[in-house]
Amino acid sequence: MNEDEQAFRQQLVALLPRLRRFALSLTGDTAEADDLVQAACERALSRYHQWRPGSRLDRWLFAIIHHLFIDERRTMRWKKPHLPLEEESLLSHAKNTMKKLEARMQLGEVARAMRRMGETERMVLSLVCVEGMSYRDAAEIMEVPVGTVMSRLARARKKLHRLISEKTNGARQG
Amino acid sequence: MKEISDEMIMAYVDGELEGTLAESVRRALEQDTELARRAEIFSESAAVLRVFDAPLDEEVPEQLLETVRRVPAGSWFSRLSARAGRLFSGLVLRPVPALAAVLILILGGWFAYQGQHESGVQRYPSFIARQSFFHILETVPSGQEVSADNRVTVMPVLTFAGENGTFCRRFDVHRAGELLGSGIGCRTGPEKWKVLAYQGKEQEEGSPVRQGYELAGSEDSLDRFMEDHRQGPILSIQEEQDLLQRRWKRM
Repeated sequence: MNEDEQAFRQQLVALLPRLRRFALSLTGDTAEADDLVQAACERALSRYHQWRPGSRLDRWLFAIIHHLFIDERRTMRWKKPHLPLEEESLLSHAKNTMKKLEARMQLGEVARAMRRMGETERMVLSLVCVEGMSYRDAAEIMEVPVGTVMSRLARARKKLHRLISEKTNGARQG
Repeated sequence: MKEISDEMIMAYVDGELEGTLAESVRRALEQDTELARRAEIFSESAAVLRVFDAPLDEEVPEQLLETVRRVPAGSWFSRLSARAGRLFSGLVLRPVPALAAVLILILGGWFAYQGQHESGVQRYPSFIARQSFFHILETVPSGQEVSADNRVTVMPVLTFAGENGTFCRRFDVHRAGELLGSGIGCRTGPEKWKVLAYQGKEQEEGSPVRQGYELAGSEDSLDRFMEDHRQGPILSIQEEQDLLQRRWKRM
């Protein structure tokens, strides 16, 4: 293993927590998120020769996850209903009981709202709001113009807000 | 300042605006409660999504770490070349025979690589060369499972634009509800299709199979084949439906 490859693998290991967070926000399911990250790492390693040392590895990996996620959803669309967001699975991340209680309230709402989002809406929300990417980086990963990212993102955030508000108001009235 | 769009407010909230533009939006938000309320929607939505931050604080599963540490890097070709290098590293060979041996291995590797991508013409199930199979790819929307002969069913899974302006489809083959294999066929003319790749389930032992769909992986030649040959996006259901109705004619 040469030095470049070693550095590549080290950077990949360091990226894993972020890749898992990104995948979790897309899939809403821990096991599925890890499958997605594993597939992305395998693909990145198999195409290692395409990577230029010094370039942004995170962007390349997010782009791979983006393609895998979109392709897989489209492939699986007819094979089973839209994957449910596993709230309990998400809750397993919470470290202690208090945190779990808080997380239960938040995750329940967010998970239900995300479930009702389209693939591209989830993708743009995950890239910008979860990963904190710039609009330009998100646009490059999604292979769309920056203006499209902005319009999709604004729409998705308003939709998320509306869905969560509806749920909250419904709970209050109930 | 003219009317401030939602996109502009959002860009300000996200720190994407600079200079005088950012300053004018900031002032407008201070003076207009309605604008401030709209800005709150965008800042709240970003905050809400922090619930997904949990993986940053927990240990990465060992399986993922092992993948990154152990899966060989590089293409089939470079991996084979590396293997050839290792094979000869312990031998003392004169330069010319050594060069010849390495060349043979490299050429062998190249043909093996090509073989992967031409993926087993001889291993196709027999029905794949029949007109009834072509008819399925020509007419059946993705997601519908149709009988190809007495024993097997074929389900087109997705459609994408391939090379040279052709359209290609990925399909699954089932027998008695079990996945037999998946392939990619490209349209060469009316009711004429050429299967460019086929991967039987038995050929990919050890690779993860879930709900009949093989996850992409370094050994998943079908998935890589599709990525290498795809020239455009995968069509949406509506786009595919329109294309079938137009009998594969482009707009």
